[in-house]
Amino acid sequence: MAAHWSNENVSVDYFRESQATAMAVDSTGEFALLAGRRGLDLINLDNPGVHYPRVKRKGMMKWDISVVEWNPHYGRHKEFVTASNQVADLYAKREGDWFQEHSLKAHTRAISDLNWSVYEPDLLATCSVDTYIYLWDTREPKKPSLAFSTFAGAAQVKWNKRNINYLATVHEGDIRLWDKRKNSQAVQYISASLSKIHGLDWDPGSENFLVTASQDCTAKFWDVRDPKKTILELRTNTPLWRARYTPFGDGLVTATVPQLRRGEKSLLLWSQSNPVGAIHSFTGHTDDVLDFQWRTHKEGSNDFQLITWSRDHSLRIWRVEPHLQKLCGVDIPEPVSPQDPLISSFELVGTPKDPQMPLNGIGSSGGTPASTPGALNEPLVANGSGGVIGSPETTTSVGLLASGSYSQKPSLLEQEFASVKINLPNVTIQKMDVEGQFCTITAFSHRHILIMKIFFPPSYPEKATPKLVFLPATTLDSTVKHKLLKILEDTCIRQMENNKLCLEACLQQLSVSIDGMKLTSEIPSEPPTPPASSSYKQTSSLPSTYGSYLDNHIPFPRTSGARFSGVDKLVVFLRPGTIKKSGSHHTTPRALSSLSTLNLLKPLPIGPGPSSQSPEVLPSLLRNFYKEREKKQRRIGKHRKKTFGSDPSLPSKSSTTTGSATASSLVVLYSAVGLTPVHQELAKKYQFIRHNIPLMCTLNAEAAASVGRTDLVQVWSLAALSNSSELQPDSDADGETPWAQHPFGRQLLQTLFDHYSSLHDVQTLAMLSCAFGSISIQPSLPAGGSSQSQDVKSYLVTDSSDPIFTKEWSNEKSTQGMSFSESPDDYRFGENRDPEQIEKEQHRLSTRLLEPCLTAQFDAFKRSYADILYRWRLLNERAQVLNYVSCPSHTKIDLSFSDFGVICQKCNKRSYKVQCEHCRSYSFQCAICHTAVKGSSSFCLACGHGGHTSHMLQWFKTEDVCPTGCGCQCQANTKLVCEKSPLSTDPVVTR
Amino acid sequence: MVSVISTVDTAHEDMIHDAQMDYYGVRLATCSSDRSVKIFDVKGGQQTLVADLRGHEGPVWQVAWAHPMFGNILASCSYDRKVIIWKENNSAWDKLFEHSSHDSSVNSVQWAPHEFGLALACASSDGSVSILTYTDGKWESQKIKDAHAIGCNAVSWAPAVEPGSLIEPPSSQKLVPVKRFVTGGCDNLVKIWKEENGEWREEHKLEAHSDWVRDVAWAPSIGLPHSTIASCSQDGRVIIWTSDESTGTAWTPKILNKFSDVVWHVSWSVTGNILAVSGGDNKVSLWKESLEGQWVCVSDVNKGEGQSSTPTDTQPEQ
Repeated sequence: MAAHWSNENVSVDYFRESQATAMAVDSTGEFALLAGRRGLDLINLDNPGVHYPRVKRKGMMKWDISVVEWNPHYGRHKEFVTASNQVADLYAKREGDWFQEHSLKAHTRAISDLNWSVYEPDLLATCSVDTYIYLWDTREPKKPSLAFSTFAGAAQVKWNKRNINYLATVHEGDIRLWDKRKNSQAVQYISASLSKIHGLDWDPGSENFLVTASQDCTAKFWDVRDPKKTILELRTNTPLWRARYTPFGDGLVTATVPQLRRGEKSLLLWSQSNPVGAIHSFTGHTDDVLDFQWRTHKEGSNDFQLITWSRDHSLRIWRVEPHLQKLCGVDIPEPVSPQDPLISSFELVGTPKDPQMPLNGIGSSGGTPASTPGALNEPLVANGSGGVIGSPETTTSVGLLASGSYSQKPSLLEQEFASVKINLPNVTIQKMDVEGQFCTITAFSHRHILIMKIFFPPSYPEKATPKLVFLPATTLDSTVKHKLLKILEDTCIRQMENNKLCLEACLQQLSVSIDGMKLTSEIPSEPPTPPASSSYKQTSSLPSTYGSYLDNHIPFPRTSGARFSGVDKLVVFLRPGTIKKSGSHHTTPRALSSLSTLNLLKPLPIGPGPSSQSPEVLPSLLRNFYKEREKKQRRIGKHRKKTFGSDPSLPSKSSTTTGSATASSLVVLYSAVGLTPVHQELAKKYQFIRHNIPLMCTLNAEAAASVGRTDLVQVWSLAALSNSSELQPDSDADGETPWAQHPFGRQLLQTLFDHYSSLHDVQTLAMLSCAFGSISIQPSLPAGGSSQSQDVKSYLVTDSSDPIFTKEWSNEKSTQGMSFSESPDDYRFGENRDPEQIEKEQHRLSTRLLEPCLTAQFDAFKRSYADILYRWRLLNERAQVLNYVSCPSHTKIDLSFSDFGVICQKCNKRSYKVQCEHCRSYSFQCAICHTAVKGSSSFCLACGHGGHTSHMLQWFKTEDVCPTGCGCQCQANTKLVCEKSPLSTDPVVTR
Repeated sequence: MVSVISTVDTAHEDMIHDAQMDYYGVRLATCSSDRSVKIFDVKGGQQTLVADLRGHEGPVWQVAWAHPMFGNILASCSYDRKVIIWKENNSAWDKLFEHSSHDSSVNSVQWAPHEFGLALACASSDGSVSILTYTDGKWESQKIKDAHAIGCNAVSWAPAVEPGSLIEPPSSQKLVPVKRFVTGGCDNLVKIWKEENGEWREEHKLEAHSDWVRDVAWAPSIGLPHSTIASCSQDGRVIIWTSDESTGTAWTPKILNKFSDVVWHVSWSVTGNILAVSGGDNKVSLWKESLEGQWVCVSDVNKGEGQSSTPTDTQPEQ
């Protein structure tokens, strides 16, 4: 197989003694130069047997030559430059002999790369690990004309092939883009890779695209305008040394890093439209390929030759056969026009035959067409380097294509883009890029999706036809694709012959063709549904389309998962056992894009339901993905080539699809009751008795016993003992040491907390916090406080239908605001106290069984447990727990009446707080006992009267009108007011 | 250890990508490649379809329930670059808001702790994270651009409790909790973001994964003075990050396990002691930290591969 594919036709291997380390092919395609330590050898590529005298190197012979490059410019083809160590040497042929003309010395460490400007024959860029990048005017070789400085040494420097000003350099894993008009800093910065990048090449067709070859075994395509994303990634098994665009089609040639000694298959040919794998491997070299270059190709021929130089001391010339070019998207029957932008750029410069096509815009700042080829080089030669650099600046201030020469064409293209008005049901323009000179279109045909990129060469529409490429997400098989391409290209040619524009006709043709295709395919037809206009509007500004290669940043969809929900439920969905992936060596791909590439050539099965429409391509792909794996497994050991398109087993496959439809839609709910440390039954049984803690503990021990938590029985029994009345602290600070200071007091309790913390048993933690916290924090609270506050809750919640406030956020807030169950204790701290009080306070702290410093944590336990109770809808229990919280929660940082204002009883000013902002006295007076209300208060929303919750409850047990005698039917009115949501206004409540 | 309560046939026409129950564990929301979001009532082993929400134009990747204090609100995110917020009004579900400021697939959504109001974080493949907040009847959007250079795959909010404040003596000045969340992305990083003066800043960058981070989950706080984050990755690793100091300056990673295939989901139980892990191997395993601090697998909910998916077969040991 390989023998047939490798079209190596010449192998020159008698240059053993040259020990050449670098190779270059000149711009005429006539000579290859092998450069080594001992000297420079010229090889006539048409007649390799001819022996030329070796060009002698001057000076330092001890260094290898790292790079050699011919001047690519027309008329300057008898010049080349070599780099060895820190010096770059310029050689030129004068009267039949080669002379070393100049040495460019400025770098302080070895030169890693150099590159001639594509546009200026005297401009050379060199880069080095010394962190400098120099531009040289070869007529002024004494010192560099321009220097760029970076922190990191550069491994590669390459001029943009379409823009006179830009060059790119590679620094480890980063790419920097420079504008030679602005040498202070890089104009763009791309963090391309975590590993080292070895090679870089600009797209010969566009100023915006480049490719990198990296140590991480990938070749990545970048759009310099959008540096955060790779456009495309080609993966290999070996670190890549170089990646270079092919002069034809959308191909790319990569070479493996030399040191790795992989020999075989180190040189690969890829097509961007098929990024899954290389389409060809150039096999033959027995050792590493040191360098490769395209031989400049003769006009009108489609004979492309790749020249390679290997460590095995052989120079090989490979012809790329038409079928390979075809795979790279080249249409063979038509001679590829020399104006095609994908042909290497220097040729473009070198062969301008068409006076209508002004080249490069150098010197033609006004946009006036430049002229004959002869005149082309003149301004370059005539200008000093500064002048050359300066003159186009005026015209090319913004980006590439504004650069003089092409100023006409984009406008033509722009016009064409603007004039295209298609209203086709199945074809949509996704993107039109005038600058990049391409547009992307999608088309739907029943179950197929077509994504096509149309490139417009610079010479379009005069000389060249647009180039059509299917993007990988296209779901047609290759034969259909080729057929379609042929049809469309014929259309273009016809249009051109009639001096008409191509795009619109092309799209019309595409629409008709895929309609026809649909009829021929056996799939029952269904009208293509996506409305072209709306989907265009929606996606026009966005570059990606469903399932396209741009999805390579989108993670592969999850097909199974498990999530904890509620308190102790586990929701699980799985890929059904019937659809599964094959053997253990298969891992799930990471990106969504692999879905489209894996299914590239396969028609999609019929959708699962009647509602299915063509945009459901992706889901079907996903299901197919797993299907496909299953199939592969079955066919193990058999012929495993990708011939899905003609797979006879397709019908049976679509039947399994429908069969598994229900299985893939199951969600299983598990109960994780045994796993979570919290227990719902226990939560219901736990008691809160504020005035009798030992009793509470005893009852809770019984509750724990009833659900089988024996450890908690012990804990509660212990708690009962610890809380027994004999151990109640002495109120006198000078009395005996409080029980809390005993080892069985606070210390013991803390170890209990530590233990249950490590178990994450928030239920126990919170209950213990409640039990031990209450005795010392609120000893003065009236008896029966717990049941009372519970009633407050239910009393205040007036919405009977759903006791949990699922309606509105404001509801929750208002109810919270209405019941002031938080202690106003905090307000005491602000006051001045005498030393005796401070001592008492300290004593109070030391009598606490709970570590006073950790109050916030105990509160957090309670809140967290309250949240769990809320999830269980155990609202009373939740309210009980929250009553024990010592400091106000985060959301109610200010203890205030929230939305209610009162007129202060003392100063008659409006106050929103418990303590009046103006006179600092308690602002709200109880209507029953006529004392200030500090704690829990209830009041009527209608008349504003109220007071201590306990008093109000007492009153309204027997009465239904306001205790002040205002005549308000408080209970009824409040309910009414609540329903009408009075919170929109600012009610000021007066007494 | 775990037992099947019920099996819900969602009748989705394609693969399910997420399933979550609401706050109370009574309603189930699912989303699928068939572009729909479905809501079921699953009280008492019975399932009723409450709503079939259509509005996305691509596969729906994830759903998220808001805290019920805001009403019954569900957010969903999709390949179509949109985030849709759905709300129930008089038992009818409608689109409340559509957020379409992302340039690529939105992979993850999560609501902030209710203490912060109604706020939603959305992670997208365009590399950005957007934060939607509902204030004064309007949805406002904030965006962290380039949160993860190549793409952001998951987002998870930190609990509103500041762990550091728990062990400090109570001060008269109440600490306002800081908004934080964690994200995971295609740059193999886990990043912690913190809001300062209304601006989101990267607080920490956690490096340990060797491939795309697929999911992150900040463990709920039960009042313990430390923070825990679980992250999982394409590289098969599940890493538990803990920050023990009250200041939360240092995060220490601990590898919970290395799986043979991608791990794409991690989920904490409400008490934060159990982690459910699921991935490309089609298995679900539950992990628990022992008293010695080791993570041990307590249960394989499902053996996954090689078994039929019918619920009777997958029922694990009680």
